[in-house]
Amino acid sequence: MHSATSTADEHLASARKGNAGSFEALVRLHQRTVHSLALRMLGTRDAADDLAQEVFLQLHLHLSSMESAAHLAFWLRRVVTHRAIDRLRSRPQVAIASIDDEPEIVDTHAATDDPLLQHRLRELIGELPASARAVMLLRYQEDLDPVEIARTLDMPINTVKSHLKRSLAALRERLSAAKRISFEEFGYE
Amino acid sequence: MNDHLEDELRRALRPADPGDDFTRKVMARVRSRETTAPAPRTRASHQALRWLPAALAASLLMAIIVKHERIEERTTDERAIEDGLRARDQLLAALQVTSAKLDLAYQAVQNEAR
Repeated sequence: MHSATSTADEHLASARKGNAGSFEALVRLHQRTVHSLALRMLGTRDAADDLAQEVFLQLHLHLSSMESAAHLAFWLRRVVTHRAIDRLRSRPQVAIASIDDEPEIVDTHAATDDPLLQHRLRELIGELPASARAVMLLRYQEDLDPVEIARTLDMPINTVKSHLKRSLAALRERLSAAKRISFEEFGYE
Repeated sequence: MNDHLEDELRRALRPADPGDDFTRKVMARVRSRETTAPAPRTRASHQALRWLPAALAASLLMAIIVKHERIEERTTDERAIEDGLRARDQLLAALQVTSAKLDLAYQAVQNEAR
């Protein structure tokens, strides 16, 4: 029985020989990762589409240097985050949402799916500085550990840990502030 | 508290598929570039290129060695020419001395005859 990794390795081997169908399979396999990272880093769909397409075009040029499916996945995450950070630093930052948006009622103790909370969290992630944003996305979107994040971003491990700690504290503070305001508005004590 | 926040972050940041339209655009750009640009380098050409710097360095070294040998040859030739010129000058100088001495001897003989 084929594992997902061996299928991806087969697609890679075939794509390296010029098989367009196999390259398309690799694109489909990785496009949600690449596009989501691009979108959450850059904040607009047009910018994300452009960056994500460019990353796959670069992959097509560098297929011969991909040693394995795992290497390919690492390479994609690395290239999209580095390029997104470069673009953010060279252009004015586009926030996903203004910080003046009306605060929402949040409950950080509930472990159920909360679309409003999730939307708010994505907004807050979009307001983080570029490097911190990349660290948080690689941790919570891609489920990488700090060592893998450090390798992907060429960042010291302590800097990764510092970004994680500070970003979580900032998110917690912003969510708590929104909760306090909501309670006050509705007259709760 | 942190665990709940982290769980919510994972839910909020689940990656979303951009759809078939995105895939089609990527493949269209790949095909467009393939028809206008040279084919991506294969592993064989990559490996051949790895030898290129070493080959260039070897060629450069050979060129330097050959040039050095030619400079050496030219220097040897030049030295031979210089030696020859020096010998000629010495010969001429010697002849001039001999000639001057002959003049003096001739004058002395003439004076005696008078």
